[in-house]
Amino acid sequence: MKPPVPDARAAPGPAPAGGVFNVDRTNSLNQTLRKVTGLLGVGRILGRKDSNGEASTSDRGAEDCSPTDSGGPSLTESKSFASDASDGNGEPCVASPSYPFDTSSRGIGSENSRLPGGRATDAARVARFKKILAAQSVDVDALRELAWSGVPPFLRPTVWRLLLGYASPNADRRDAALARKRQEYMDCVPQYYDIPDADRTEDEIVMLHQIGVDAPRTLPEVPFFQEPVIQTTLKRILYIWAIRHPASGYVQGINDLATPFIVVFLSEYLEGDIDMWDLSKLSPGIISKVEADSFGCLSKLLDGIQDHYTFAQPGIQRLVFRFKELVRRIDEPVAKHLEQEGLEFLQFSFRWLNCLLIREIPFQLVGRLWDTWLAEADNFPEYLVYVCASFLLTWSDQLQQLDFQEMILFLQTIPTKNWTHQELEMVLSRAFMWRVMFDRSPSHLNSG
Amino acid sequence: MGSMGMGSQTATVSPLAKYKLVFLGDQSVGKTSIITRFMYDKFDNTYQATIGIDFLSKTMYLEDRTVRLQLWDTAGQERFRSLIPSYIRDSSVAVVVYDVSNRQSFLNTARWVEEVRTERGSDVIIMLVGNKTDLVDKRQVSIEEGDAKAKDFGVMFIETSSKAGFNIKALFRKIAAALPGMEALSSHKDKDDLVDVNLKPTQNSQAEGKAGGCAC
Repeated sequence: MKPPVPDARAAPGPAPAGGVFNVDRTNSLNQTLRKVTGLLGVGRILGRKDSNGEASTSDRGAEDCSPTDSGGPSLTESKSFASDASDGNGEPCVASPSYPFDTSSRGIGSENSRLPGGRATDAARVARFKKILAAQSVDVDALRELAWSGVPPFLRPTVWRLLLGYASPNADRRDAALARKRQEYMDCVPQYYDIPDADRTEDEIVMLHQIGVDAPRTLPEVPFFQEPVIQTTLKRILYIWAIRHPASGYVQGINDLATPFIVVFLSEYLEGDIDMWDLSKLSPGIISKVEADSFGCLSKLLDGIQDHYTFAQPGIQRLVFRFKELVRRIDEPVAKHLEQEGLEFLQFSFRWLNCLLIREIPFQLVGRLWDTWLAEADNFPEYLVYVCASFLLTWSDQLQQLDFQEMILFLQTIPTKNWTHQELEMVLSRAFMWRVMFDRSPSHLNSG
Repeated sequence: MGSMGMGSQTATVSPLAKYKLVFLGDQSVGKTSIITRFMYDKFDNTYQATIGIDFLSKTMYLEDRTVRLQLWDTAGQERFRSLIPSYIRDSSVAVVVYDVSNRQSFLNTARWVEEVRTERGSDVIIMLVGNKTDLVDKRQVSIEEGDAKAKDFGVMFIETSSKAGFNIKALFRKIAAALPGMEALSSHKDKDDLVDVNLKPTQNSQAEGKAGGCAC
């Protein structure tokens, strides 16, 4: 492999010699992954490998270097903080003790509170979120930039609705529009779901049956998902989505994709550990809201990746192809090893892409992952490929020691059980960095 | 089966004979359950749906030899079908599963068998499996029908219950008994021709440890 951007190798920085573009760059990145604590280290790496290959300063603070946070100026010149802090959802702007997806991050949060910015739990970041959200017309691009690095859990419901375009950025119209969308969804229930099988087509009956089989085995590790009220909610969301998207219909794995929304929208009404959530406290009206919002947001998410789930799943096939190509360019030894062992990318990455990595990481980290997914918006499928590469190459060294069988077994149950936000954010940041490198230089790293 | 003698001769010097099996059948007929019962001798109602293809491996110690079975567990849902042909091409055994309490899944076995024949011709062992015999009251397909259908296809047949643990070992022993012993040589030549064979058994046993394989 040719060293493509000599300047970048000479960039200042405390990282081990060898440079990011050398053959052993993966080793150094892996070391970084193991050793770096918090985004400060990631920031350095990002600074070093900046855009055009120019040596950029490595002594910038973590905040300035954090992936999409380069828009600091636009944020400071954004609208003044409105005194009307209501965001249309009547949410308290105070963090309650514990949130879903947040159980493993508390320790890290406190550790990183020493660093400037960088963390979703940081007070300055929370203030910036609140400022954006309080605007008469929310600057969704600014919100996107900020959300990319993680959304404070108590703001997630509001932020996700906005990022997906489900809620209106305009504060005046937001509540009425949401009420209308929720009603539209609730009108679908009697129309599509609460009807006798005689009024369904053969295909619809099969689909409903499949959804009925999959609902109880969705997120089996979270007890409240087995509650009848949530089972019904999930089945209706999936079935109504499928009916309204006949090109794909219900595809297994979409059930997984609905779960983060259900959990996040429930978190507006329930506190504490999700294992302890008591749904009996919630009125049917609240459940309906949660259900409608989950449906609306799932629909928006899937709109961007519809061809992942249509016949022969061309969207996934395309991403697998690009994933393989990308790994070949980033880490040729691993790519060669996989090829020599006869391991196809499709064999291990199909589920990654079909379920957007949701099954590959602990559920409490999924919210954090989805902050970035949703912030990517239209660029999401492309970024997903980079994240898959970053995820896979986290284990670059180990993989090269394994044969076909060992590799595929390893990749099927990839060891992320003890991951915290830190490991996940390392994967996301490295993916971001690679995208910057490769997108601006489509072929210069070709190892031909 | 005719070449069994040859197989046991080579087994002493060559790595474990490896065989690839692909599990086919409609959604929710119990493919994953059968494999999990075989691998870990357990049953769980709450498997997540298989997305795409899962891989599992287990070593079987037979009277005259030891074989390693590599199992491809396919997703049953229609949408994932386009993935499956390459796994069928790669497998010397196809296990076609239906649910005895679901007639449609039984009728659809014809499509699966046909797909296997298309990819592999006659160079394949096919086993038809009627699963969920524990659902006595809900049975829609009799054992006689299953047997007749298997004869019709010209394939082997067995009924199982992965929930009750019924006939699961018998299923795999039946398959193992039908494996051609020569396969060890050819599959060995295919992939490992540059590897010192003496090294392989050690690697294999390590791999098995990780895969949770054991004598059955």
